[in-house]
Amino acid sequence: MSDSAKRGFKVFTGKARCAICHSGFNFTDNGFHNIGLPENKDEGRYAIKPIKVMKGAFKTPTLRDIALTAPYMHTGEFATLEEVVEHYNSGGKKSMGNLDPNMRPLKLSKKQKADLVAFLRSLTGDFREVTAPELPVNN
Amino acid sequence: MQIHTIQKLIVACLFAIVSLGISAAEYTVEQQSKQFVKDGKLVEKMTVNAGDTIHFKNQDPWFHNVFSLSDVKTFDLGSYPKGESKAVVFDKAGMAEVECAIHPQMFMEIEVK
Repeated sequence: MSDSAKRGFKVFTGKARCAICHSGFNFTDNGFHNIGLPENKDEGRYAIKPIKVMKGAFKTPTLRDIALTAPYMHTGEFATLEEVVEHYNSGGKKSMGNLDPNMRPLKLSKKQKADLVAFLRSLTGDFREVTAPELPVNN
Repeated sequence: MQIHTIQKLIVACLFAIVSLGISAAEYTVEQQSKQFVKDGKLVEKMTVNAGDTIHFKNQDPWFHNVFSLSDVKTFDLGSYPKGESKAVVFDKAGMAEVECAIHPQMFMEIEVK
């Protein structure tokens, strides 16, 4: 792990507040949040749970192998991790009349943003080949 | 005579109201480590009497929500931060399912007798 990634972990758990939702060994709280995406036109979780805070809310995804899964967000509106970090740094904007109260401008420095991206890239694991299991056949 | 009877009735009514007020219990359920906790222990089900109040207090350093869409009690407490508490009076007998909309693993049942 690079020094930049190590510093990024501190930003991740500290000033950037990422770990509020991206917590635990899978980097997710398994919760639902409206993170204020400009392109979101989907009511999201509200369709299942008609509670105001669920308007435009989507499930927190894991961050494992996040560098391999572009484009980002459920809208696919960001092509790079740098754009994702810029979005969170801005604090997001209300969509569907809602914004998670944990979202707020972060005021990250250029270096902190670069370190955060380095940390996110460090979550990439080794490739593991998956073999399809042989299913029993009913005769 | 009639006035005396009315006075007696008023006193009886006031007594009944005060008695009800005294008998209604208050409980606190905390939201802690993304769980509903009562008296320091995880609580999945609790029983209260009609008229009792439950205070839902957020002890986590992030926002929580509490809601119920049950027939017996429908409410949405919105989202609120650490240290804040919101109260719900359970005034009708039946079973209420209470959840946090943000963290769906937080779920408990409240039986109102």
